[in-house]
Amino acid sequence: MNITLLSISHHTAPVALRERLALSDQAVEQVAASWRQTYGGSELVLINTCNRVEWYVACPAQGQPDIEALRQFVGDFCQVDLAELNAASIHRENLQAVEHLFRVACGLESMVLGEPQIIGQIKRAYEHANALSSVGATLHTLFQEALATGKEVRTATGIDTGRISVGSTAVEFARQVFESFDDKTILAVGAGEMAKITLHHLQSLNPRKLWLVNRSIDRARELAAQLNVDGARQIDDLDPLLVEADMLITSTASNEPIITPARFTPLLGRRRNRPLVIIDLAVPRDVDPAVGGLQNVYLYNIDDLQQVVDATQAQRMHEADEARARVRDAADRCMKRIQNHDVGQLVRALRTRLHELGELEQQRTLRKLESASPDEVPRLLEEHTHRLVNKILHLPVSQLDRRQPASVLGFFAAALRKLFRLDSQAAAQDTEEADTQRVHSHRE
Amino acid sequence: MNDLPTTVIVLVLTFASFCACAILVARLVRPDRSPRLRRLQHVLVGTSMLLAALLLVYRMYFVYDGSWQPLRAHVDGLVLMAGLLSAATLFLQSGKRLPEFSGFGLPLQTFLFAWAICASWWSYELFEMTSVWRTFHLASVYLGTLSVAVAAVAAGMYLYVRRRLRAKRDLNSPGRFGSLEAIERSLISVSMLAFALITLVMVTGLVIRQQDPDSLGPGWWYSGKVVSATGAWIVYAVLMNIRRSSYFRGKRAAWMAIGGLLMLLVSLGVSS
Repeated sequence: MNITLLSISHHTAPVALRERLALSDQAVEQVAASWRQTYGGSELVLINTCNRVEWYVACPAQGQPDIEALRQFVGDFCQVDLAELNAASIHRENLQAVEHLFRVACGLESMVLGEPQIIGQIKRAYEHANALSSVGATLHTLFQEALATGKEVRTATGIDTGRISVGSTAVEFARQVFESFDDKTILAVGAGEMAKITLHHLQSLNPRKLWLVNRSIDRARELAAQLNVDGARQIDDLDPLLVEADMLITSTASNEPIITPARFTPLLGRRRNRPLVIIDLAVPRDVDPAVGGLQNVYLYNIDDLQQVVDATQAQRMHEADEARARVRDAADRCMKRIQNHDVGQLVRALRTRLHELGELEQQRTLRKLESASPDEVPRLLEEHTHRLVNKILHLPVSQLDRRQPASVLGFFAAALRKLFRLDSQAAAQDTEEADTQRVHSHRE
Repeated sequence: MNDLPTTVIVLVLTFASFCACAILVARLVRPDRSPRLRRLQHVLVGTSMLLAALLLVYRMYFVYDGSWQPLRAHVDGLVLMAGLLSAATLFLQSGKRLPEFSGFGLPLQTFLFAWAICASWWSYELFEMTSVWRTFHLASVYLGTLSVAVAAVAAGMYLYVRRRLRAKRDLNSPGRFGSLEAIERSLISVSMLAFALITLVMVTGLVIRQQDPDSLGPGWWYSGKVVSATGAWIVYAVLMNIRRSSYFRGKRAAWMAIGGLLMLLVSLGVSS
């Protein structure tokens, strides 16, 4: 089987083109139906994410669709100009296609190195294609191996460990102090974009309360409505909220710190010394660094968070080399497995076909033998052998038609020589003749 | 000198615990990517737990001729403590709350087994088991000491994690020792157990003193043993209510737990 990949990703195409090539689940079903009609014997899986659209096709060697036909199909279906598609896509065959899928599954081709979502997206794409009956033995093997490799490489190299966004790092910091959040209050001061992203992450912790405080109460209400949080409060309520809060996110545009030791120290007693995690996302800082020195206060600023993000990226880059080496080995093993399976199927099909031919001839000869005299038996057996050999050789020999292009003719001729060891026989005959001549000349 | 099989088994237990410690260090130095090392560590800790239990059964049936009292020498108490610590380590390691409790628990377990070698070979001595109260007293002493030791281990973990968070050190690696809140909750739970067991130690001690007035000598109620035991009892009474206190919470509570262990060790160390 031949595996072909047509990939359009954030590496090769702008978002405008990716949008046009992206397919909804319903569209994928239409693609599968149309594919079955056009290329019935081949297999197809479509990976469709925000960053990539990839068509994986498996078809018999020399069969259809080849890459040109595949591009034409994609262009026609998505109504994209063929020249534009050619310029914005990459094409891989067999081992290279397998290796590409494995790299994608490991997150090595992702925008954020090692990101974990892609493996779920590949799994969904494979299951969807399977449900639409467009997956056969080759793509089953390929995708199952890709998913297994994705998991194995992540476990072995740790390419997906660590935090890669400021928001998720803030969540990780909070988790190092608190075990559960269902009894915790989170307070956000300021309604900037960074606070919005961080609060979005913190919402996943399901805190008991999440308050938003801003100088402009309208802006706070607007953000609270967007994030679906408990509510907006005025900046005048800050002190009582600081007593209540277990976690504080600040991101105001204030030029002076709004939380100072003078403001916070009197509140410690009312807080009963409960731990407080403060994430200060503002520049200039909203929280005086001296507050971080108070009892049971854990203060982190934007540099601390960025430091973690940078370290994670550096670590992932370091792990990527090992991951790539593992992917190469796994792809090689997978390709061999697919080829072995393919050859096995081919040999089985060949045996079945020859046995069918043999059986037909056998029945014919047996019918003749019933009415034949014993003298006729050798002739009938010779005829049987002659007919059987002719039938077996008919199709392969018919491929040696002189009207075929020279390259095709040469390919089939070479294949026949190799398969039936005709070269070695010819060579053996030549050697035998040469030996005979040498003996004769020696005698003379 | 104790019987040879006990000493040999304790040696094996110490070696197994030491190996588990070595694996732990290897895992902590290089972040654990392979679950094999972790599994091997679990196997070693589990083996220590089972072997310690078998050793206690062996001593009850073969050394003490089928006696129902398992704690008749210091080595028995130490093996019991270390075996229970193995069980606690195994239990906590398998949960998510304190995933690397062994980082602090395993060195203590190894130390207890090593101490048991000394108690079995060089300083072996049988206790005078004159009444059933002594058995209860000894059992509560060893179990109470173990609870206090575990509370001190949790306190050590708390201080380590707190220091790491405040110094903003290794922020890139997530907390392998659990969150501060989880450690504090564990500290409170173990402190409650420690308080109950120290109370039992004091009550049974008083009963023994009533039965044998010379056991602690004159002026016993202000002796170092009783004063330090009472100090430890008060410390753990405060610790189990730490969430209601605004002053002791956090770092102070952790240091108190460690101080409570030292007080109890002083109490065990002085004869009167």
